[in-house]
Amino acid sequence: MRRLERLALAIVLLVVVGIPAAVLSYQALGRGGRDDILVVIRTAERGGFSPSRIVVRQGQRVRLRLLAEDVTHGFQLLHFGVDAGAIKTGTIKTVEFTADKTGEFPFYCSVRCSALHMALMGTLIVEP
Amino acid sequence: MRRLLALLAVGALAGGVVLLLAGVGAGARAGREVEVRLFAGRYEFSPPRVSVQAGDRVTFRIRSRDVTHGFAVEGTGIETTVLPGREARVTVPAGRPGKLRYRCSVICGPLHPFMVGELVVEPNRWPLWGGALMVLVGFLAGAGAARTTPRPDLARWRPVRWLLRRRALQFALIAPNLAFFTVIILAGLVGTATGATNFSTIFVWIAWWGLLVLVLIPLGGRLWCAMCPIPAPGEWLARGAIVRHRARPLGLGLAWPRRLQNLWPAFGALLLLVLFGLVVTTRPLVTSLMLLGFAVVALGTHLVFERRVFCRYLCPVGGLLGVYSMLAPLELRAGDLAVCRECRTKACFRGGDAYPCPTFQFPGGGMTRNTYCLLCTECLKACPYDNVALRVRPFGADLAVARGRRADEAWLALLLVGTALAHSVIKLGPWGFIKSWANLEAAVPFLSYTGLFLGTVLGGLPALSLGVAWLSRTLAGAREVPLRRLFVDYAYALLPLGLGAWMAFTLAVVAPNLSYVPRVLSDPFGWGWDLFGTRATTFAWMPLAALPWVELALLLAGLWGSVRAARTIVGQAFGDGAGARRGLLPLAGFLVAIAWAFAVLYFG
Repeated sequence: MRRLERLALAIVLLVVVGIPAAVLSYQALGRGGRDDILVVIRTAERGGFSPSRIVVRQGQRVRLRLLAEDVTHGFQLLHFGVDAGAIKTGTIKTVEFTADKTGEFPFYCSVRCSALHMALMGTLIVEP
Repeated sequence: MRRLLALLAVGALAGGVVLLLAGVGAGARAGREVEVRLFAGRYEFSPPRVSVQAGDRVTFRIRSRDVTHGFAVEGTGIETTVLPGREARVTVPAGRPGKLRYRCSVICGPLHPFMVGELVVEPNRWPLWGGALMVLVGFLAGAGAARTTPRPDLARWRPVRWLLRRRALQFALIAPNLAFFTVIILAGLVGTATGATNFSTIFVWIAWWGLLVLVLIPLGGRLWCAMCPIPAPGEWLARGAIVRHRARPLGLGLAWPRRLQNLWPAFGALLLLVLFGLVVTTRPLVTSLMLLGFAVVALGTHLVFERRVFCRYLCPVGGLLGVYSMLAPLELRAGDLAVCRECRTKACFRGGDAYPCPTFQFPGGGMTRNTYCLLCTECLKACPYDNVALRVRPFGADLAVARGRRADEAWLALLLVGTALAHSVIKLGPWGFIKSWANLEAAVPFLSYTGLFLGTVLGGLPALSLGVAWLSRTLAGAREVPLRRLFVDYAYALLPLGLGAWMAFTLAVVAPNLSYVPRVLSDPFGWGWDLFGTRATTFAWMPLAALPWVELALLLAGLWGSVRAARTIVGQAFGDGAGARRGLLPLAGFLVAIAWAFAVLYFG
């Protein structure tokens, strides 16, 4: 009975402490090894692009995973010929391009998403 | 009287058959080409209802008023995306008469799952012949004879008894749910605010609620209470043990205030929960905070007061489960009452080798109904004579038990019927304004909604019910029966119909949204994960065209049970004579009318 009690306590602790710890560390560490960049898109009222500044090196092959979080958004980075079209809420679209010129380039949402749709933009910085 | 009833029943049947044939026969007619301009905006289609003739080909020209929406017709493969600034065209053949529901298929905000519109294909005779069927079922159920059936005891079966007497059984049931609960709380607190892609809202209001209403309550009554993780931490701390039995508990063990020893606290909590239902069920953070709040209140009350007062008096879901568990075909009762009378220890109530009943029930003596039994199996472990039975029985058996009917339970039964109706209007109806009102977007509309809601569930429906009781008493010619007692007793007759309506409502909410369950399993927090490769799942195979038929069947089954119960209850009040038969008429009519109201709402 005592062993059973200890086992139960271990299970409870594993669940209540272990699950949050596992989730948060998986999000923080487990995904660091990927070479693509996750861009979460929200309406401008709720914070806009996250991150809104993306820094890469010239010549780098850039892969962006675009996640529309709250409503359907779009993604355009026209200087590099990138137009993802509509990204439906909760789905991810991946775009790929080579950062072959240096400078600062704006990217926009291309699907009307809120009253501040026109303000929903971010910057890609390509460093030499 | 009898002949008149029989005549009416035959008439209703004939009418139903004629209308049925007319409805089915009107299908194949060469129709017109119809064009409909439809606006999609958060969270309604405008116009909300479109009427066409059977055989027409309807071309929808859809424009968005705000963000991207979708347009999908339930039960067909027809679907299109409506991007802002662009017109989407889609053609829907209007085949058979009836109602087709279309819904938004691209997540457009919190209320997206309830953004629906209706295409009514005339001549739609569903409400008519559905109503005719209901009148018919009402008469048949009112006339049929009651019979007694054996109630086999599952605990007599050795493997079942062995399992039920394991101390670890309850923990084994709770542990997996505690894991789900932890993920739910975490997802609500740190995950995405988009309800449709958050584990919290989807697992609580689609997966758990669907399983609860469609499976657990109808088959097991309060079976959920045996595995609910919310009161568990409090109980473990108060007992000072998780699995084993400790004779001296750690909690203070004070007595719960006498004035609150009833279901009114649960009634109040449930009223708040359903009033804010649209906000609670669509916001992950609100869902999580509410559940966490339940757990905290349970923890506090279990440490301070004796036994499980949270589950017995406070839990709103417990109130709902309590009244509907009377319908379940499963009961825990004393085996042989003669043995209980001889028993000196009363271990089931006072505790012995196991904990005393956490909800102050006394299986060996007074427990004749499921209402407060959590199926925690402690009494099975405590009884030194192995004299506790877990029996299979007919549906709705507790409704015939006259002893112990109470006003708090009666008001819960009324509240639940009213809420099923109100939520069917708010969540399944095509009217966007009422969704905005209920969505707490502004103070004045929300207050009007509150007035409307409370007026219906606390005013209108109870007043109607009281009127029915008065009419029934007058027709029965039994002025000596107190009206108060009739009001309370008659409310129990609403329970089967209420559960049938909740099942129909739940099915219509859960079935079209079921594919979110595998999606949030892969990405519980909306962070772009794909744990199991199911983040883009769609359930195209879901047979939504069958939905109205199943809903109708559930309503009819509920009505059948309700009228059967009404017959018993009226008989208990007025005896078995002609007076009772006359007294049954208003109550049965009331039940048929409620069922009909649901039918008009769902199919009209």
